[in-house]
Amino acid sequence: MGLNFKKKVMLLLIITWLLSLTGCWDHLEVERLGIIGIIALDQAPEGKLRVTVQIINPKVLAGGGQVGGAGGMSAYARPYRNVSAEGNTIMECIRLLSLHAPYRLFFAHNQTILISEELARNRDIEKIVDFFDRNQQFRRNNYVLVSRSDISSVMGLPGETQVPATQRIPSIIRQQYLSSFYPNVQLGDFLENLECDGRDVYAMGIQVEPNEAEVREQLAGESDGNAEEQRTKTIGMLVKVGGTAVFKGNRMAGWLNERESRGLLWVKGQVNGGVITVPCFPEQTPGQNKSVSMEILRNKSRIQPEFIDGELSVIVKIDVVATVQEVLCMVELEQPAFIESIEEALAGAIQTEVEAALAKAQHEYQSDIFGFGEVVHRKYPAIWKELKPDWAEIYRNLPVYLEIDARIRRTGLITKPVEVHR
Amino acid sequence: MGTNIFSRLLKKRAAKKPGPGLDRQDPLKGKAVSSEDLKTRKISRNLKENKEYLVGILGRNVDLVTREINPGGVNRTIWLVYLETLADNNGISESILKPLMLEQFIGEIERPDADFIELIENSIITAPQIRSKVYTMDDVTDAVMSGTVALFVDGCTEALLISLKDWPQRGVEKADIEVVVRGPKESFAETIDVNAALVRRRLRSPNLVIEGLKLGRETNTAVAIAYLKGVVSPGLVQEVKSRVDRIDIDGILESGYIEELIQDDPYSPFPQLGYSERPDRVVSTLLQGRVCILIDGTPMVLYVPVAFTDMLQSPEDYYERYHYSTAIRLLRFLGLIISLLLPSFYIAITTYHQEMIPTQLLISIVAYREGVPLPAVLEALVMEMTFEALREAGIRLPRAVGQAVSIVGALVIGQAAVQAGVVSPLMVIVVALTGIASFMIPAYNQALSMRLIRFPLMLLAATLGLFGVMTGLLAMLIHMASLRSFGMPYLAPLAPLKVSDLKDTFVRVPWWAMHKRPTELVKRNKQRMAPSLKPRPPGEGGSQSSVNPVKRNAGIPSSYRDYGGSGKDQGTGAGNSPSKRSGGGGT
Repeated sequence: MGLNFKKKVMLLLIITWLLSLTGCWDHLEVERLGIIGIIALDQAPEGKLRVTVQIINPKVLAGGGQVGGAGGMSAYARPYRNVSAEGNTIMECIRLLSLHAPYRLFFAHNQTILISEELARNRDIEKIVDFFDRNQQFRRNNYVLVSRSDISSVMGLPGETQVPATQRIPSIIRQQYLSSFYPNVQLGDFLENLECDGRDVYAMGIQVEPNEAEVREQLAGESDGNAEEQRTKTIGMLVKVGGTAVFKGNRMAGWLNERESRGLLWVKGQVNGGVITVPCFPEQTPGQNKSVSMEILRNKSRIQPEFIDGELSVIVKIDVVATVQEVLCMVELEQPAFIESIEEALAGAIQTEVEAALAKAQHEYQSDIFGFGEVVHRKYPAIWKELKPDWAEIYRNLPVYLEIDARIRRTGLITKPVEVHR
Repeated sequence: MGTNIFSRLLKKRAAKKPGPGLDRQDPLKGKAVSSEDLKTRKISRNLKENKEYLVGILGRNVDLVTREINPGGVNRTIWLVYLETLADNNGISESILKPLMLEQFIGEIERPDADFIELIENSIITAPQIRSKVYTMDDVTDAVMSGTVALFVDGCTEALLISLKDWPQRGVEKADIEVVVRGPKESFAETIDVNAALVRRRLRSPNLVIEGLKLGRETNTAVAIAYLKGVVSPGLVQEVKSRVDRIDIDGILESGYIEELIQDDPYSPFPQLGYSERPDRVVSTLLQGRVCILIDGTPMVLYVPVAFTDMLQSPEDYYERYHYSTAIRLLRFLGLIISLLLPSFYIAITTYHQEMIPTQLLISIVAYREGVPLPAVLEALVMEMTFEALREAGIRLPRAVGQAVSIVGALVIGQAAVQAGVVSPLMVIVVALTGIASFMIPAYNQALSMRLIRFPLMLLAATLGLFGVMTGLLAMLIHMASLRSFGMPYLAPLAPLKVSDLKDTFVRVPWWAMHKRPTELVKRNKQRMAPSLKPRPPGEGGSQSSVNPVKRNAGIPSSYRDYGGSGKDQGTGAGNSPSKRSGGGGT
């Protein structure tokens, strides 16, 4: 405190002046932002990329149309706008977008990364992902999806209604645990899988389907004679997330369907919900109207490689806890014997799903999405060095043994099924 | 009384036409009374000289009354001087004039002078407070200026000062600033005697010391330093006294004068003295070992030392049940943070760190800010200033107009500005929240400093983003950590950490757990209560009465009824300066 008052005041003034010199350089008012919800990558001619982004229109989305009436919005204002550009790299495309975007494109709130199937099959994934890994605006919780349908249909069609794809896709994925028909892949996991020795990557699948209910409405309308009224309606399209895009190395190899996807998740221990229906009695098939539906509560798994006498094998232990949700046969649920029998059936159903996934991944795509290689690497690091060059071949013929422990915890509010007494 | 003075004034004006001014015979020729002369001037044996001197000094005042009495049976002149505006005229007639004039001084003529004035003091005058053995004119003028009657006797070098004061004053009213739901409603008045009485009435301990002194060369303001002997640390009392003694100023009109003259860091924006208008709060600070400064002419009593966290405590925290008090205290801390940081945080985040805003919120912020012409900083500054202006206007405007202003303000800011698209509704929310939060801080002076610091923080946020806000906060923290209030660290129980004092900082533990006085303040006599006062069901470790074997009621006088309800004559009977009371002779 050797400074006297005058010097202190001068110091303060100098600091104030300095602030006005240095500050503000990266200052950006919120309303100057073009908030982007989806970035989609597609194959363009001549080996180029097409980047499409969905810019949110906050006024419509926030319901802020009443604010001052400024802007004078038309009744058909859409909550989003898609813009696209073609180029050799993603960054190039994004900067090209600035030629017609009146806002500063802002990716920090992006939630979805869409890759078209064509691009995934034809361009190295590492060359796609580098930008997302490098750029500081992208968050690690962005969802990574591969689209079966045309990118523009995924990003466009459902947006005519209130919820644009920007919000719709993440909202759907947030309910992934209700079906477990596709893995929940976020950018962070994706990058981790990509760079991990002994793992292949996978992504969520997405596609557009016609809305079944509206198709039926139209059909019904035609048969009722209200054809005129009905024809004016267009059939809405729905976005559906499901299935898994499996990569082998750098390129996409193929798809796992929904059941197979769940098979993958069983091995990963990531099934936290979803329904499995099994026949009440072993000799029946589920179609016979005598089945039990169970909801999965949680799932744990452990992958144990065994190296015995020069033979490598993998044991996958899967623990499942489920509850009974719907029973279509007359049984006494309080009987332990019955519970045991459906537990066994449940384990069987799980085994079927896992085996389907294994068959596809091991034999058809030869893609180690389960991360068996990594587990081997971890347990037998010395052996892994020898195995690694031939891993693709070894993996294809790797014996996988399943140990499934399925438990049923609860049977719902009633023990006896509903029965009509005459 | 007022009309009395006024009519006299008119008469005087009418009597001497030549106009006002200095034409009247004046021994000092318009010069101010020099204190040197007053201090040295002794009371003369010759009454005439005394008369001339005093009339020379005070004679131009309309309210000066001089009265000569020649009691029967004695060949001596008795002369009374007082200011009728400050003295109790009925009292003078009842307890001075009547006894003096009706008394027969038979056989007393031959008494020596000293005895004669002693006789008057001891046997004749019936007023309760008399100060005798006054030999200097300085003391006499001092006393007369504060409403005391001075009595001179021809041939005596001594005067009697008879305290019979009665001046216009506000009574004890409800607290205006520190309002509580549960707890006493009394607040201090402008008279120091009343205030001292209010403190004493709550703290009937011989350990309570109220030392008096006078400050202000011209105002001669009575100031008192109060503390609780045995609890307060003597060094603190010494420090307060030496700082107050240093003051040499023409006038002290309010506690703020003293505060700025004795605070530790003269440049700090943070208040280093607390003030209160509530006697109960002042007493509680005394019990914690603090020193209070009472000042005549203001209902605010200063107390030192204070810590930052003290300012967030309301007296009601101790009266209301502790669960609620704790919750409210935590809420107040939140309020403090909001009132300090919310606008700057909003500016920083919306202009630099948009990725930190939840997506949905960002979307609505953008939607509402679209079309707002000002950048967020200016918007915030303008709105905050408008709010401050409204608040200021609300305080200063006549009460009848105040309502209208707040309505207009609410309409202008809340609706018209938003509808016109000049400001965004979110900014209105931010400003309103900030305002509400700053009202949550119980200490008004602290709230003021928070209101002020908010603005530089907003500028920092606008130039450097959150980094700037953090820099500002850090600078503030460093300053606060180095700040002392009368030797006590300003961040007291937190830095340096005193774990046992945390019982009364963010939380308020129940009374039965507050065993110790604040350790930062009290070095000895730390225990404030018996060790185990926690109520227990009877039968478990004894009934409640046996918990504390000491007779708890021993200290309370049986005559509490005497002091109970009527404190009517508090203002009139007491001497002006508490210290001078002790000089009063017995009757």
